Amino acid sequence: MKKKVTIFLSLAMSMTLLFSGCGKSGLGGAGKDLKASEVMAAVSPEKLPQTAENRKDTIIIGFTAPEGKFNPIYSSSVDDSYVTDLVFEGLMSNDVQGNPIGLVAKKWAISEDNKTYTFTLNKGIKFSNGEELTAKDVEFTYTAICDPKYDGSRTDAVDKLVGYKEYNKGDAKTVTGIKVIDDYTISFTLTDVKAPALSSDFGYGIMCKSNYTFEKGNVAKLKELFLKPMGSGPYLFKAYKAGQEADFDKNPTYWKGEAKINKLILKVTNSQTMIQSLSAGEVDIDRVATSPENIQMLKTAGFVNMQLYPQNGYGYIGLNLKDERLKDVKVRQALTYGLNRKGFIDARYKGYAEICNAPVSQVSWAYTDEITKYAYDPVKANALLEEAGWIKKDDGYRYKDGKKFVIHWMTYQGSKYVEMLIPIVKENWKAIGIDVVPELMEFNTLCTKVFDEQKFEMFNMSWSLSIDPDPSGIFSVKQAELGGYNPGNWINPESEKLMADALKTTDTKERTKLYKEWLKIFTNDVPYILLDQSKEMWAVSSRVKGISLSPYIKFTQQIAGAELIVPKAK
Amino acid sequence: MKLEVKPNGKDVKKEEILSPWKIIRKRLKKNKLAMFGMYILFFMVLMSFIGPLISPYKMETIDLFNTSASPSFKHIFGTDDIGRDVLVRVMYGGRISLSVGILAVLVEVLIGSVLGGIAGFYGGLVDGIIMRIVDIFLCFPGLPLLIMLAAVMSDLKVPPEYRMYVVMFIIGLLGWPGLCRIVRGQILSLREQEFMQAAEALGLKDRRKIFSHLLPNTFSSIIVSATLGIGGAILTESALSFLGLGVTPPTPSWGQMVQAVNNAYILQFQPWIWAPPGICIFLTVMGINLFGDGLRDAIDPKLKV
Amino acid sequence: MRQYITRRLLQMIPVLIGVSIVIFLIVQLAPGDALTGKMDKGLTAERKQELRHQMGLDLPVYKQYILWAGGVLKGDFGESTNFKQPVGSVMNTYIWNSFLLAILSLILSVLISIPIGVISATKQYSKFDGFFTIFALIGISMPSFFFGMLLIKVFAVDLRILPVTGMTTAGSVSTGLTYVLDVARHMILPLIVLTLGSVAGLMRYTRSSMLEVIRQDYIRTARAKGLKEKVVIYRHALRNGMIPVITLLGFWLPALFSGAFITETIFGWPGIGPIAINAVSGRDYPLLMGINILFAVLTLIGNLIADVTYAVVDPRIRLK
Repeated sequence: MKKKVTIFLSLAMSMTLLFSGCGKSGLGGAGKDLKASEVMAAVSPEKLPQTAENRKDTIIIGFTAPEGKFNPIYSSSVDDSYVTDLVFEGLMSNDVQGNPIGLVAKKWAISEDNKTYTFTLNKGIKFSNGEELTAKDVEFTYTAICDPKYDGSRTDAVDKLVGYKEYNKGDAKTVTGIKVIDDYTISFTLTDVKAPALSSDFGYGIMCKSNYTFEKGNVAKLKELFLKPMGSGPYLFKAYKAGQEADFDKNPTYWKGEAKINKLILKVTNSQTMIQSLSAGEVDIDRVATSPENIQMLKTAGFVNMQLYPQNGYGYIGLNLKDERLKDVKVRQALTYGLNRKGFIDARYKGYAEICNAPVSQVSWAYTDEITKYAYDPVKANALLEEAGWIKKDDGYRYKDGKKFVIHWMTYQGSKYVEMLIPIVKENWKAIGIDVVPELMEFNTLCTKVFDEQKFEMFNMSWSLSIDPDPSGIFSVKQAELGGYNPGNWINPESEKLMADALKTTDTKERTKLYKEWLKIFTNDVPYILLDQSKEMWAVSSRVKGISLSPYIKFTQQIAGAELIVPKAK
Repeated sequence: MKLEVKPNGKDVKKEEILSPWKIIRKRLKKNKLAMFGMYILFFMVLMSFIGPLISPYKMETIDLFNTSASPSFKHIFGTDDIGRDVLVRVMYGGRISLSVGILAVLVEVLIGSVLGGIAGFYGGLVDGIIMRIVDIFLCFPGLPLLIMLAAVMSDLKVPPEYRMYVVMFIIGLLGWPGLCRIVRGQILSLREQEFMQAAEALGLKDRRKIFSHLLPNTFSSIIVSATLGIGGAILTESALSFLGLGVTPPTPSWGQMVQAVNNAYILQFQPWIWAPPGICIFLTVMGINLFGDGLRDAIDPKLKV
Repeated sequence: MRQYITRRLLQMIPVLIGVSIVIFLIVQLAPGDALTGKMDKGLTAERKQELRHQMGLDLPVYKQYILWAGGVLKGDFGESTNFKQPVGSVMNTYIWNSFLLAILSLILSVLISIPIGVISATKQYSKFDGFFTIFALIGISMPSFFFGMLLIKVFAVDLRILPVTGMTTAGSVSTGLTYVLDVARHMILPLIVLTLGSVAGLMRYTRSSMLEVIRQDYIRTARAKGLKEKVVIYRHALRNGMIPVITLLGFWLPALFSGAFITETIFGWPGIGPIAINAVSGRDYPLLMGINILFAVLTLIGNLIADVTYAVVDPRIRLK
């Protein structure tokens, strides 16, 4: 049901945190056409309910109950990060195309050897306690992540810094790779070239040193301040009612000029009643599950604009390449040819999704069309299986060496997506002679079996991606260890080399070429049966002007410039 | 058994002496409401177990071209969101919901009333031990426990068909302490009454005192508890479905089908998806309660019929 | 009596220890731990192992229990892995909201069901009885989310007289009476749903129990003595009829603090119900243990209160 899907998506979206909101990108490059974003304009904007109209200076945005980790280096849920994005700002951000642009950083430079990043800060940025944001605050923020007692999930942003080990595991007093050159200049030196660094590591909100300071090891002090975030962003944190809402006032000393909307409230909504809240005018903006029914209901309300854009992520079926039968690439290709993915997508999304053919978003600069696409072709599937030695017997199923081809498919409970997928997979693969036995279980149990223990044959899940298309976080050899994200153990030396090379250069053209090659190898090898890339949908009330969402832009990046208007009839 | 009374030559009056069970049955038959309840239950059972054999549809057959269709001659209750026939799923759902409700309550009633009887009767140390065990069971939080249990079962590779029964067994195990306390409380009071003194004077064995004398007097509470319990079990199964831990799809159960109500669109525009299972739950609970009430009335010796 | 109470209180200690051990074991039995489901790129397998070590999750189960128990004895329930705040403060934030709903629901339920149950019993098979029986049946056969969604649709969306979700109006900073009224307004729908569920059951128990009692001889005697019907019922029958009902009320104490998960989720009421459920799926051991131990303590106390009340209400009962 929607609830579980929303929860699951939030879990999957924790990936997005490290990568969204705060700039990540490939430089310039082929500015992908993001016209895939679609806006269904409100039919009768004037039908705005009185409750909403009366709320002249406050905007209400829906989210799911946050955990209250309102700290830029600790926030681990999408909702926590909305709060931190409103209150804090990072060195970098990104534009619509996903290219990095400076935020707190006025300009940046990358050294010849690509290992040192030097940032020059804008002057006059004030924290809301009156202090100016200077390089020492940036140093403090990143040193905090290196702390030995730090137990958040951002260590990948700092573990390649020179001096990290000495500080984290040893007695060093500072991290040598972080150098404060002067009040407005700071540099970070890495031990190795890391191409995605600019887009993925330098977007975290900067904490005010004097407010957040703690002695090395005493992160408890940071945790005490979780519920009192203070930063340099466009909004001031005013109040938090656990499980209900977080209130913000505009920051009068915001360095880019104060926001147009005086008050902002993030209100907890749930999937069962979200549409009702929107229709009643209780909430102005919320993310709604993309379905024709929801679109229908919002159209009936009349005053809600719907913004759709392609999801930066995909759903997939994972195969265990250590399994005797799935080792054979012909079998994997057969399984893909034999699955009517379009049928599933049409039934499930009714037009609001596309077949995923490559493990990158279609709007990413790394995407290419020159890959093997597996259109539904049961004849080909049958042929491939025959070639692989699996012969159909009278009962309709395939046998090899006396063994029947039975696949156990581990999946999670409580999802309409899975409920629809199961019968389709079963039927489609039965037609090509394969018996599928689905095993539903609780999500955490599934994760334990698949990732921690790697005791599975087939499973399905989805990934939420960062702006940078680097796939090594999922597909590298290292990730094939127990606990890693490559539980299927897809180990291909060519793929490994291409991914590594692409990490070692920051030239986007170079990387595009390498990823093109990589995608060809991936789609030939089919370690995953890629399923769908759906569209995300945001409902935006007609009284809100200036919010235009897209795959790489969250509302927090535009809210400072948004305003509330009195909508007129068409 | 007929007793012929032969006084001096005159006509004999033949009175039938009925056994208590026959009396109960007779009284029940007279109680129209109770019979109505029983007929509803018969109907539900019949529908659930025989119905699917007559239906032309299977519960898992999907039809992606005919999803969410409103009721028609082809599909009397319409189809759900992936084109499955709602009527046949309601029938299959009945199998699960009914057996699940009855199993849970059976476990609960058997364990609860016996232990409650023993505890209330003996008092002292026995009572103390049993009640502490009850306390321990009551201390377990229901829903979290069930979630963890479901996770453990997945781990142990319990086949999906059996999983539901294990869960219901556990729900029964979680419910018996409640009944136990109720029964014990009543027995504490009953055992001081005169009829128990009489039983003592007659030298009856303990077992007979508990099971033939005390417990029958607690029947009304037991019956109410059982009837509420079956409805409760069906709803607990529904709550589990809310969390995604109920019956594994594609197996339907009424509780799981009623979940559809959480989608505002289906609630408003597609009532054929959730109303039939909801009505079935209601009718079943009503039938059980009417019958249960009638049974309690029939058992009560003081009710003059 | 005093002896009995003291004895029971002392017995609670071993019971609590036993319960805490069993719950700890069950919680650990569920596969995975707090880090398993977190699919964060920054959490590589290596990093997860590091964190596990930091959090003590790689220790054998009995050691983890001893650590936890040791902390509890010092009053420290540990830090919630989800919230990264002390367990006590997390629970404190949410539990009073559940308590508010629960206690009002309890009061309403008792006030409504007992009189109706009694009248239903005295007027068995009348129209009154019939109507409320059907009403009760609807109450116990409807899942709470069903009611919740219906009520929201009618009152919040169609009629727009009540809010959809939440405990207070978004953005309000009202205090005092305005605040109370605001909360009250938001409380109406969830309260109806909660009360409906319990009223039905309580009504049935009361009615059934009263029916039993009314048929007793001593009631007939009282009537024969010429006592007014009201006195007969309310002074004589009621006290004995209440015994099963009192048992139920003993269960209420823990229920007051455990939160109604489904109702709170649908109405966006910030109670402890959804928090507890998330703690299970998220394997937040410290928070889970904290909530469960609280529940256990309240259960034991609630049972004790119920047992003592038996003896008070029915003088025939001798608690040995």
